Amino acid sequence: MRDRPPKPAARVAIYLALSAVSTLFLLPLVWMVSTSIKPVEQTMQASPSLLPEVTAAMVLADLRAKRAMIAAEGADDATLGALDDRIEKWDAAAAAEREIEEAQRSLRRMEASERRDIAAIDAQRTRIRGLEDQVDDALDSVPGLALLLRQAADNYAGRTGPDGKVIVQGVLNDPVIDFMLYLRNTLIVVCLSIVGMVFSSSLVAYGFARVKWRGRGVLFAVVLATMMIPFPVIMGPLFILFKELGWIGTFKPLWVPAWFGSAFNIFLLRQFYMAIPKELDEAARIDGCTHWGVYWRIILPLSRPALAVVALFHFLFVWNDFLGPLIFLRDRDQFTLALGLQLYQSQAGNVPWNLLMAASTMVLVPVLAVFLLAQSAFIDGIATSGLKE
Amino acid sequence: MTRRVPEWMVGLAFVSPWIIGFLAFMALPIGMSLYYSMTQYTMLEPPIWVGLDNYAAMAGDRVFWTVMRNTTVYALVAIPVGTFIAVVLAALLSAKVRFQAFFRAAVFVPTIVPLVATAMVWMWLFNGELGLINIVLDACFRPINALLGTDLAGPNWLGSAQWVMPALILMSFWTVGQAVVIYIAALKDVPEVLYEAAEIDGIGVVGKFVHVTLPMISPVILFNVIIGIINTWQIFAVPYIMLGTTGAAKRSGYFYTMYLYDKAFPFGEMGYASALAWVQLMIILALTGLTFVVSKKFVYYRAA
Repeated sequence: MRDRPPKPAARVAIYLALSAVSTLFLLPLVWMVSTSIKPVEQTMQASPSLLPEVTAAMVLADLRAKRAMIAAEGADDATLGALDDRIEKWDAAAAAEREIEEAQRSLRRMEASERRDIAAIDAQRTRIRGLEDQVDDALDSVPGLALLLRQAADNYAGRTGPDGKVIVQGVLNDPVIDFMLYLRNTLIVVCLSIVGMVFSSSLVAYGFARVKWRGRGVLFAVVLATMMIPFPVIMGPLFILFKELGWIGTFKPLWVPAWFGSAFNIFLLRQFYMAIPKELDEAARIDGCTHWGVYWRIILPLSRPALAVVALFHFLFVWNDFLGPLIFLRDRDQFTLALGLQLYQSQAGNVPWNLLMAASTMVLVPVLAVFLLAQSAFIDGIATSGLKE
Repeated sequence: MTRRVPEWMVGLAFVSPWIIGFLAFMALPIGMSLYYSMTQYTMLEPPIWVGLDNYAAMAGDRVFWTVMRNTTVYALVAIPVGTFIAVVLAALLSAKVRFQAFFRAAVFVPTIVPLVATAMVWMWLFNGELGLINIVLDACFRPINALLGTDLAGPNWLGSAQWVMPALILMSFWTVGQAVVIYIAALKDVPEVLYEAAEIDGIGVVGKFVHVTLPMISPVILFNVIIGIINTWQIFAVPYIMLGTTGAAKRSGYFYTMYLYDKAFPFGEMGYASALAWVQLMIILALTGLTFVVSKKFVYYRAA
């Protein structure tokens, strides 16, 4: 069933099925990125396109932003006047664009009506063609790619004048939601907890895999059993506990527990350590090396790939965690990216979809980058969790 | 060989971080939770002992039964259908074809997307007016409507009580990738001789899948079903973000953990919330046990 290559007909069917499946699975993310680089009016079309289109409205918005920017920078009247002339011209082109849309709507009505007036329909078609030529002529001279890139940059970064006034609203220059601060907070929690997680999980895994003592089998069974206990079951008392410790409203609840290891990571590392030949550390032990020495000088260097997997998994967990920060953090200034993104959507008012998708893309990109860098390690780690034991 | 410290002490020392963490951040909270579940506790005043009142109150709590029903319906549809999809995808992705790595990555990537971003993207896709799903649906409905004179249109998914659950279940299939990866590894472990033996007996592709593949990967299916059950009872972030704390659709997209969260934090009823937590733990343990017992009939374990 597997080692033989399938017959040609089956092969085509498999390719078709796989192409359809991967398109379906990737489409939501492609659509997210596509929306994130469009101007807002292009997210509200009845038949949207995958890539943003260069329109007169975009040129006009770009010129207006440029004018506001150089005016704030104190440009002279001659420069401003020249820009004003161009704005006027593009204002007309953008108006023509709106007229086309209106005319197309009425054309559709005319075509759908019971008594079709052929002459009127033809006249309408000619009118639309004329308007389209007018807009196309104007757009011919526009550097399209540069404009599209500026539009994308506007959605992500926005434009802020020298006086700090927002000229174009993007995600990063939002007056209420400070994504750079949330990024910093997330990175602090990520770093503090990854170091602890990798160190203590490997230490505990060593204790279970390489030191022989009575009761370790029973205790390891308890470790595995704790994987069954869902976080929601203990979140209430944990909150009370952390409150007693004065940790609520600090990052501590999000990283201190990582310094005590996690069942899943201990399990993963123990599997790896069991596979390292016993002769290695037995020889070292005979030479007078302590367990700590074996752990530190032999096992840890050998298990770098496994430690990297633990670090990756934990990075993902911390980066994506929503419920933990929601419960344990208080101030907006301390929010992580996951929480900040939700706040952006819920409290910043009616965020347009293009900006919301830009913010979501920014939260996703680091995760995606890490995944692509370490794809095979990731997938092996997950496969292990399902197969062994 | 100098051995001053006995091995059991060394072993305990190595695993002590986990023991301390387990006692402080798991055993203690579970114990606290058992105690609080028998009290009335607002976190502002000391807990008041009420015995089993909180548990008794659940029986008459209509919201409790709503979240029980929603969570059960979700599990009963999402887990079996999701398992079917995952096994089929794993079989497809095991075929030796070019770009296999790309196809596998495409199916896996959605599982690493932060839940908040997942919620945002699907809110956009499910948007009643501008969402891609309804744009595609309406394009498909237009010729049907023209032909049959019907009035089919895409629903306002997240805004309508009966379409919230289908929307959330559809979304869950987007993240079957983790299970798919595990099934792919399991399929690779099925000994080739079994397929060869089946072939000699003249068994076709479907027969081989049903009589060889499925029994051989059944322990892994069991594992995934149990993980699925545990995860379903923890569903929180996605519906919480997509539906918010208010809204007409809320009740039909209201899950167990959301209710537990609402009781514990916004409402500050830690006693009742702790009782909910204990019931949740018992349900998960019971369902896992039940899955094991039922599966005894279906799961085939190779002699190790």
